[in-house]
Amino acid sequence: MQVVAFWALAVAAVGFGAAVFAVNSMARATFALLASFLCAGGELLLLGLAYPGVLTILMMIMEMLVMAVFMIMYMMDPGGLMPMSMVHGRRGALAIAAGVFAALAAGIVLTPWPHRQGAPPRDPAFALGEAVMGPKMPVMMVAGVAILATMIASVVLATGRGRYGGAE
Amino acid sequence: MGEATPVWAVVALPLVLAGLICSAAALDAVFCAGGRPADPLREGVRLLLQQRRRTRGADLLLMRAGVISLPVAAFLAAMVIPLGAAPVLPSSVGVVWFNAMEVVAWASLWLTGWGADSAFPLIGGYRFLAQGLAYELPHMFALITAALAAGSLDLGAVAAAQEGLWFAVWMPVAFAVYLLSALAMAFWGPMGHPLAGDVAGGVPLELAGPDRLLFFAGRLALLAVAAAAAVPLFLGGGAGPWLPAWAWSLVKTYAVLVPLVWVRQRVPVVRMDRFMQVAWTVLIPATLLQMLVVGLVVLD
Amino acid sequence: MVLSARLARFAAARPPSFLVAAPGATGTRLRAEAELRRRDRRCVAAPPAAAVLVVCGRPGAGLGAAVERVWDGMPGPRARVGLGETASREEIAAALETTALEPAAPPSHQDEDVPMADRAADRDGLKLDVLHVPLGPVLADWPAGLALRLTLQGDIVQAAETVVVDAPEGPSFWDGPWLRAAAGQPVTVGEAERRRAASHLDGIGRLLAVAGWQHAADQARALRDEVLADTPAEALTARYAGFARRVRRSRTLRWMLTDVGVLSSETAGRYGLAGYLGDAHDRLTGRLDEIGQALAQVDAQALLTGDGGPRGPIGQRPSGALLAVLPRLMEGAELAAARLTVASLDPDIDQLAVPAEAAGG
Repeated sequence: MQVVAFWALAVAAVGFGAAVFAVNSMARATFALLASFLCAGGELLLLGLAYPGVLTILMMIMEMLVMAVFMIMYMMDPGGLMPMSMVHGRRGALAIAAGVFAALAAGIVLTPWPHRQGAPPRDPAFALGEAVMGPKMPVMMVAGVAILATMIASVVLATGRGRYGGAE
Repeated sequence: MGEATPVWAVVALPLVLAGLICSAAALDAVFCAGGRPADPLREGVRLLLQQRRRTRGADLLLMRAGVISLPVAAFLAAMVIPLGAAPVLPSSVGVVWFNAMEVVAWASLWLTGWGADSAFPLIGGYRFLAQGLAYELPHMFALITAALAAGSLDLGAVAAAQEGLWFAVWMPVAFAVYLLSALAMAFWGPMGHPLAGDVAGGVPLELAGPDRLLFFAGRLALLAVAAAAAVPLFLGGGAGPWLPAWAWSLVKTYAVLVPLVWVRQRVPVVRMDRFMQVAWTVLIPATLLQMLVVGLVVLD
Repeated sequence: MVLSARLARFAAARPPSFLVAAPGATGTRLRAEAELRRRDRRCVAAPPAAAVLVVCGRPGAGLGAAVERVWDGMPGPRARVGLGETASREEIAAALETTALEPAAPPSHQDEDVPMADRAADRDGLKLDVLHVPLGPVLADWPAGLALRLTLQGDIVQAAETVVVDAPEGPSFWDGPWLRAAAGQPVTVGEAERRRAASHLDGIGRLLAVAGWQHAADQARALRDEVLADTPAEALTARYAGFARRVRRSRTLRWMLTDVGVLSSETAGRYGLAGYLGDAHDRLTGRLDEIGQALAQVDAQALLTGDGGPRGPIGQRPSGALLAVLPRLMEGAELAAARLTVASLDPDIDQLAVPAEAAGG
């Protein structure tokens, strides 16, 4: 059952990824990419990594919609369905894609993967946090909030007039 | 992920959700001037019997995906909310799952608005993205505050952590922000700018027939699910004297849902060009402070 | 089959309506709205949401074409009701009662092509898409016969052009008592003040609907219909006081209307619009005050002599100045703010008509 779900999601993820370049509208390409990412999030859930999986789904939806604003509103015809090719610089792109794929695949084959020691932790999200940040957790959390506050403050300061209001 | 789910809960969840949607619609009709409780039913039958329509140049695939994903997301979000003792899908990261499913509405509204190839729905769709950016950060901080106090992202554990004192009582800022964002995620009442009258109804303007019915049912489902999630997050879950847990969950859900439905009649629509400022300069700092206070209490 | 027929009847019992008013048909629109309210039938903001299209008055060529397009896009089962300019309350009631919904034929002609977006520099110097969107003439809570051609970048109005769709019909319904007094007919002050209060309540109803406060908008319209229906003064003032208190007290409304459509004293002076000074909220509270004063005089039997109509001296036709000043106020406004500005100025296109003779209203 899990194996079937794994392969179904894997094929769907690759299929939606390929669809990004096959469809002829910016909006469809954006949402094909989103669907591909959602399948990848589903794979993480299948692996028992609930937190990273759900977070992937959450972040990708928000990210793609912010992307949609930029891609479609600021670059493309809003509202219309202008057929357009999603492929540019075909030869160079193919070469880069093949090279990157070969490098990543070689990495998978050549890396000496460690063997599992012990049982998976009860709460993988907690274990992941500890592994990444260790004893620096409070410092990192404070730094995270500080970075966010800085971002907000700089956005507020940068928009003196704001988007709206009469021409001055 | 957790203990086995009773079969009856899987069957009951869609029924409970449908009941909440119908009663919310009937309540809204009663609160309206000259409305009657059967009006939503009448309108629902009318839409079911109505011919479909499409605008020229519409991207039907994306538009339908947007319409259908709205009730689906609400249902998926409801699966992790404890219906009494246990949710249909017990999850150690229920809070994040709820958050992720509620963000699906961003995509739903944008797709529905864009797919119609019509100016007003398009503007409505973009308005919801602006609204999302305004409400989502304070909303996330409110969710995290409750999870922080409970030390868990499991909605059941969050409810269980409130045995002495409801989170609504000792983290009122987070609760207030949560209620506001419940309105915003269901684009309801004062947070209904994406569907406002000034753009002739906005996002669903071009929808007719079953599409329209599904869209509005999905919106009420989101509102009901947001109200239901407030119960384990801030109101102590199913705990209470005399009644069984599921009954208390339902009573508390209605205690949140009824004021949310009612407020639509009392307050005009809030525009995002004004609300954004308040969200980022008042609500985000306020929720961060609330989180700091809760964090200090928890660390002690 | 019996069941489906019964369901169809159940669904069609109180179908939602979309109302279009032609210039010169304000009276018909008011009577139709009152009749719909009496039957608890909803008016919706867009034609696709409606089952019944109610057309008040005789649309000219421009509005007529727009109405046909809207009708073409309405899904069946649907019905269309045409109400003449002189239709009485009973005629309107009969027309609304006997509407039978019928399936829609496939659209006879295609929608008009939306012009492709092009690109232009925005106000921060970025090159962004611009979209040309017409507001009106078929739009809910919108002055009859008006259209605005907007140039939008995102949700911001870059430029606006006002268009009067067909030749104004006139005479203005709202100026009726003053026009008749000017023509030498005997008109009491009470009648004129009733008209003034109703005119402002109509405008406030629109403003509140555009501001997304349907409940208060319905209240304003119900009051308007009572004022026009010669309800005694005591009953009116008590109910109006409650309504006015509610609108004045709403902090959200004040927050949303402040700094919207600001008319500086310099601009107002240049266009002769002294009564429209300030922002949308100032104008709203000013109108609320005026309604209170007008309602105190609805029983005055003295003969009307002045020419100060609801929108200002009727001889100056303030609506012309309002249309002239509109494009200036639109620039840089968010689309919702632009609509609130139009609603808070509430121009009356009928006022622009060349008066053939003073007429009754």
